Amino acid sequence: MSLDLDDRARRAAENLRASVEGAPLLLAERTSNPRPGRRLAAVLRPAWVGAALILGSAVGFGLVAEPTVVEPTSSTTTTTPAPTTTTATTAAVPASTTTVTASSPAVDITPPALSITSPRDGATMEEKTVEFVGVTEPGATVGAGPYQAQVDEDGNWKITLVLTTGGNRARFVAHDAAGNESAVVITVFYAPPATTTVPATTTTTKTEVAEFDANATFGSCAEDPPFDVYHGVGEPGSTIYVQSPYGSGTTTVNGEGHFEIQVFFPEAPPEQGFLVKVKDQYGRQESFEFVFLPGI
Amino acid sequence: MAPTDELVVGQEAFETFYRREFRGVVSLAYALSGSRAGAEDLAQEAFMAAHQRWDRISAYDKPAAWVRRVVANMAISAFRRKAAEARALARIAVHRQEALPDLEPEDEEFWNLVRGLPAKQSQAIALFYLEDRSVADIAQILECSPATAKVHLFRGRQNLAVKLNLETPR
Repeated sequence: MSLDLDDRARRAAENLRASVEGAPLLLAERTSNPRPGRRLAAVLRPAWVGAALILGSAVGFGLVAEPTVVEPTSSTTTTTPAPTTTTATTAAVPASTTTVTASSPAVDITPPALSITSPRDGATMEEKTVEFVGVTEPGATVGAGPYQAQVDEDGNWKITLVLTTGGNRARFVAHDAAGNESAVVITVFYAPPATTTVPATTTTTKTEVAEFDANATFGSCAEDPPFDVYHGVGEPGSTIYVQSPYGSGTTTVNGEGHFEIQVFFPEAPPEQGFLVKVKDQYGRQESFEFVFLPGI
Repeated sequence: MAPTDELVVGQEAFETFYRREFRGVVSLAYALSGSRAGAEDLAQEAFMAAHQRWDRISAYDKPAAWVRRVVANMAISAFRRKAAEARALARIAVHRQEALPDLEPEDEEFWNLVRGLPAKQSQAIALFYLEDRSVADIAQILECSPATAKVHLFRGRQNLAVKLNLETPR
């Protein structure tokens, strides 16, 4: 059986990750004799310092169940070689001796349930701030990027997002107590309602043009001829122009204020990026880089 | 598509962030530096830097990208790599702590070839294969456009395939 680059690379990556997974999280020296103001363990709160002494296991740090944690108070610290099975092992270091407490907890490998009950995927919102609501496994945490949702004891979670005009993609990730992970992705659109202004000195009503926003879907393409799909929001019924040195196109914003257009770039040179302009009939525009990468 | 949304909830605790990201960052440092012991030191330095600026960094869309950018840049700096490795080896000697076994020879060969690529190509390759990062993520971590990240990845894969005498999947 012949290997290709991806096979070889992924095997090498997997073995390297496994090597790191089986290692102690921190070198013992860092907690027993930290350099003042330098070592990370020294600046973290005590519970975390203790947690850093947990020895890594084959199942990874997140799956170690309820370790016994005792802070080291002497300069003698002993570590136990990383186990080669999925049994979690914890070590605690009392004042003058070294104690190793071993346990064999059942390993939970079931990812937590995770769903979004509101809003629905693909929904178009008129409010800039939206509360996302869902359900996960009781005891699990839910986050999006660096932020954590509020989760009650029944697993109901909620988090508030501030949308940007156009498409907004959010990925929610749930972690249960055993470190298992689930993720769901949702895309919602924000289309602010057209505003109406009434000049004080006249009785004429003037409707402003809806906000314009454009997005590139891929940014590059391996197929020949290469193409990209541009989409966004604009004034319903208005014309959208896509222009580049290697391909162009036009489309019309639909009644809901959305547009989408696929544009081919048949003469695009390989590996050389170029700019694609997407603009509406009012002169508002966005620019995107595109590159043809045959073979990727 | 707009970038991931701005969220108006509390910031993540540094401890949670550290627990989740530490091993991944060590792996990245290991792949790019070639030193297991030095990689832990580099990762510690990167997390220390993040901790010192956590008020600001935790507000970023992707703090994990920031710490990976720091460690990726440190790992490919020969001077820092050697210095970190020397400190780690000195510490191991003092405490008689055994270093982990080396990688299998063919895996070692693969990562040596990755490290022999131009810096941005090696970083893109490591992020792509080691962490299954998307091109968009790689671009954010390397602070370049997605198109540029794809070019680094494309050329890196081509170079690796030639050196390993392997086919590049199409």
